[in-house]
Amino acid sequence: MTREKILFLAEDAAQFSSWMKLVEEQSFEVALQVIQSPEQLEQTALRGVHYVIEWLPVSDNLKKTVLKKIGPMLPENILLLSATHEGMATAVASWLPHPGQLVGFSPMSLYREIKHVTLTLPTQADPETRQKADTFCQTLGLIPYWVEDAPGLIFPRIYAMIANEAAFALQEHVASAADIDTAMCLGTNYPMGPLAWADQVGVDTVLNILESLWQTYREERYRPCLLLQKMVLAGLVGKRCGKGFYHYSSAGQVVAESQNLQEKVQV
Amino acid sequence: MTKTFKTVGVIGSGTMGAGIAQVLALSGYKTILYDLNSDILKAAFQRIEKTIQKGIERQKLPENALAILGENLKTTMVLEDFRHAAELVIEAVPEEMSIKQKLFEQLDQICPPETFLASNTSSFSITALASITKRPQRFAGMHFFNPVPLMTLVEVIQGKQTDMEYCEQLCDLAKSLGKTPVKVKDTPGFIVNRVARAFYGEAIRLLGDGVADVATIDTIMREEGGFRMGPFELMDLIGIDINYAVTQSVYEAYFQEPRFKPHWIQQQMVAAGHLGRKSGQGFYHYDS
Repeated sequence: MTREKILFLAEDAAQFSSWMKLVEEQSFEVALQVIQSPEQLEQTALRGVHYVIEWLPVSDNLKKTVLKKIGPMLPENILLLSATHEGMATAVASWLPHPGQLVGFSPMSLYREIKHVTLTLPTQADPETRQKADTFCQTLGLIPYWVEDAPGLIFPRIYAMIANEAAFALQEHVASAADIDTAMCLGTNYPMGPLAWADQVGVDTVLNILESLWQTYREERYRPCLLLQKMVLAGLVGKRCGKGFYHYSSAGQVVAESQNLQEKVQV
Repeated sequence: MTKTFKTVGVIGSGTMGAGIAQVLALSGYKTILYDLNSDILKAAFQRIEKTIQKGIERQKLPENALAILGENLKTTMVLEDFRHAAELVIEAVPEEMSIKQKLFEQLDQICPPETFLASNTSSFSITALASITKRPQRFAGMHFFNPVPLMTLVEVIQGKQTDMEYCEQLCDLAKSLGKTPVKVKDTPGFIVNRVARAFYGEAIRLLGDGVADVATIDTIMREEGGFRMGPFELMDLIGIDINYAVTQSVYEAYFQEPRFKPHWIQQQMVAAGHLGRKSGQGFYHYDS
């Protein structure tokens, strides 16, 4: 029996480390493509593939360009798991010639080892897609949680809203970034401070989630804080660039709090 | 000028007041706990003793903790006792403006001008409470979290007119109690009650929109998000009525900022008497 092939598409090889652990234990043939610009996509990697797991950012249209390119090369029976936490699975599926093969998932787990995954079906999903995804998850030992398709799924959406509120508080000089994070960890047992979390997942990702909510619902409730917008424009996207709400050493440790960020960020 | 508080008054012997009095007394401060009558005070004292007894059994507190308590904690039903006795008086009475208004008017008359005042309020403006007194520069917020002996956070709130130095002294006091103080500018909900609105509010919104059910949202927040409890479990624990009241209060205080808008689901749960664990039914059912 030939081994089934999984192709991972990521912007950074480390993104899928927790998934890699899961698939290593199974008899899959695994391929990983790191794509930072659409030209880097090697079409030969798609040959003989059974599952594609894609987590590319919506920023700079990378996700859309790559999916538009590989869509026509993916046979209809191939399952495409796409990280749709920055938008909606229905929108991502609409870029494909076979939108019914897509399942949206949340890649945001705070844990190094994942046991659960949040999944969503786009409106265009084929009737058998859910069963296919369930079987695939079962093979990997992952428990799937199915939710309706809405921007940001569950955890990324709730936490982006918390981070937005924390950024508003910082912008209004209510307290320092470190004190806001400390308050949420000690006062209400959060696993991580909301601003440290934004730095970790990327301030741009948080902003993309909020922008998607804002554009979808058109409610004031979802408007992204000005500070977040300015940070992204200024390239202060967090840990991966060394600067966000905190400053980081090359080893990723916090070395300082960005002092008076709300005054310093000038565009 | 660095002033160390030696004797601290605590007004109100409910859960918060008793907890504050306990940590003060055990940290070596002469503590005077005030309440309206002797029955309430006696009950509070017994609750504190019981908590400490448990702490000793679990080896979280030293063997002589009860002796330290006995030595440092006094109770009184006479507000005039604070005239000369305390350098700092912390208010922890019920969250009703009329009660606080009357109390601070009295305290302002009784206590000499150099006495510092603090409020443990979670919902009222410190600036507004300070304005009741003639010493707004000596008035600050000192917001403890429940249960006080276990929760290490203290929000020290600077009102519009509060002296910065006084806030620093309250931070030092909090540290001496083994707590972690954070400095907060007086704004509705301070940090925790404001930022945490999104945790509950967005979860209810997801429920209302039919994106997922209660159990699914809670599980995802625990398993994917690393939260100890999901938003609905936590609302059931806090009390849906209490949580709804905090949301309404922050929403109104920010002049109906849409981010804090309450949801009809909360109102409906309260109307139905489904208040959470305490009523046996909330977002989940509980057996007795």
